[in-house]
Amino acid sequence: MLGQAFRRLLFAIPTLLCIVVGAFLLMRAAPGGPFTEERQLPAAIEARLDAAYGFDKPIGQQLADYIGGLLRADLGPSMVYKDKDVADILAEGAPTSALLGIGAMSVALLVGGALGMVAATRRNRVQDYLVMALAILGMCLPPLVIGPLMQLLFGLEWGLLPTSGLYRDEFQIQYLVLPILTLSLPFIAIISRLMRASMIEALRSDAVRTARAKGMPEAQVVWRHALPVALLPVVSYLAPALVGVMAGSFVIETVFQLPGIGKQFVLAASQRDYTLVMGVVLVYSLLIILFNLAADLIYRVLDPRARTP
Amino acid sequence: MTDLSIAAAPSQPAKGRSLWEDARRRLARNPAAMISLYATAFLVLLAIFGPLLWVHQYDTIYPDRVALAPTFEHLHLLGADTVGRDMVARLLVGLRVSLLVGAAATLVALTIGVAYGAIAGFAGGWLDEAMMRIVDVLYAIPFVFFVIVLMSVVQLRDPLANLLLIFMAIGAVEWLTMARIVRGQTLSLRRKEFVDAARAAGASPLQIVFRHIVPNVMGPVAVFATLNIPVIILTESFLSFIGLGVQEPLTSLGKLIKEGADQMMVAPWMLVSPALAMLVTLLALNVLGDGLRDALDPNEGNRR
Repeated sequence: MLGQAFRRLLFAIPTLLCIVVGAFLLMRAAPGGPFTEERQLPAAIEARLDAAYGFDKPIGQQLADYIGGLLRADLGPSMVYKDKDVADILAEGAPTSALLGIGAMSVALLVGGALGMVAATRRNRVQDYLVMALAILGMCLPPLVIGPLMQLLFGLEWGLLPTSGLYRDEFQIQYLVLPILTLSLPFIAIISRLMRASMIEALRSDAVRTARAKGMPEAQVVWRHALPVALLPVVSYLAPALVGVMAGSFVIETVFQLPGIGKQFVLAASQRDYTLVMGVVLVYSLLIILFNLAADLIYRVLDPRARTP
Repeated sequence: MTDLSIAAAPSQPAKGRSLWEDARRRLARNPAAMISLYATAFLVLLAIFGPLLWVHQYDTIYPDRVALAPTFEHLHLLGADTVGRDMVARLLVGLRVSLLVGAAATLVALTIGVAYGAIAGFAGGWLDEAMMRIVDVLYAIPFVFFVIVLMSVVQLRDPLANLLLIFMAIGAVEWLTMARIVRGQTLSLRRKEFVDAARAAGASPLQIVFRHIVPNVMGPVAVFATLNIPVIILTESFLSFIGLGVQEPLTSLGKLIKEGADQMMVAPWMLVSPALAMLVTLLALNVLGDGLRDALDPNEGNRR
């Protein structure tokens, strides 16, 4: 199994290389650059700026330099924030984005999983219909609708929770409640549907019938025999869910004005902050690849059939 | 514009094919799915003809009616936005753009995905291996980022061309899943007798793939397409939300929601109506997709 993991990691190298080259060329193909402003800079200044950041070299040389920097774990300087490195900016935003993402994923897994189990075990009863109705509603109400509504209701109408920002003097957790809730809603919906379908499948399996036949209490049947099997599709959904959470965090960080990486990325893309965009793409790609790998490994542990390909 | 009928396509199957006839009957017995089918058809008609028939234009600015609350005066039934444009007209155009983006991007994804998956699955061997490896590599790429970069990088003057770019970009991302679904189906189909029969009759491999395999994988494809449209509508609204989607004066449901959210305190009607329209659209498509899945493949998925 370790060999498998190692091979997958090796496989990640060409993938990452593709991503770096693709993103690099795409950014450079863009009209305008990080120094394009309303006011035209004098030619001499622009030439010196270009020289300082290496823009006067041929594009192939620039790419090679950038990859060389990456090999030394150097993401380069930000081109818009003159006094900061990309690594600094990422490090500043990371805790916020990580808290938001981990929080949302945990809430989605716990609540979505629980709802799906309830629906499956009370199939075709009121609880089932209620959960499924909520789930389909949740899939149709994206964060950009729910976010502003939550701010309006919880923040302004009822004054229960702060609506935006992350600090008042110091870090306070209640600033993250609404963002995490908003971000996790669509994933609660999807996970509960997945969980319900796979749980129903699992409850029909021969193993469960045998367990019931020998008189095992129903609760134990569900938790010991059905649940591990039913979790498999949820596990394989984890990696795509992470990608979705990352994308969703852009909206959430904008709506709730959180100082995270997502917000920086959107800004950077429009400001042509080449190195910052590349840095975010690279870090998030790496995270996604690692997460895919982790999800696969968990899957193999849970499902003996997948171990021998 | 005819692409918009894609959501309704499975209801007009080729004559005498028992699979489709069965599916149609099962669908007709599912009231939720039938309601969503009619709702989808209604929304599509509204998107096509609504902007033509409505008394106001979506880009006409009435300087004296800025942030007008809903009123029967001048038929501003949903009010006017903070620039002074009629909300009904903007909603109709937004619906049109959102559905168009969803349908067109799905079409792109379908075309690439079906062709790619069917060829890989039918060819088998090293070609299949190589083609699916490529899909694996592409899967690991966070395409959301690429679409964002692409959208902020390529900004065309013509709003319609920009729109085209959006759904090409999104469609080019969404085909991966489609290719995997179709390949899986093709793998099981290629050993069937009718494929042997076609080969015996002298059909070339490409003919077999496109004449015989592809029509037989259309069931899962139709389900995927229906469920994919809401996903794309959401992606577009996400892009619009961060300011990279359709450009003024064109609009989409996502853009309208964004504007509504910004003006929530001043003109709440600007948020309520597009949010509801989005909800109804996504609800109709999702329920229809679920219904289609149950109808086409009664042994799979969301069992009732």
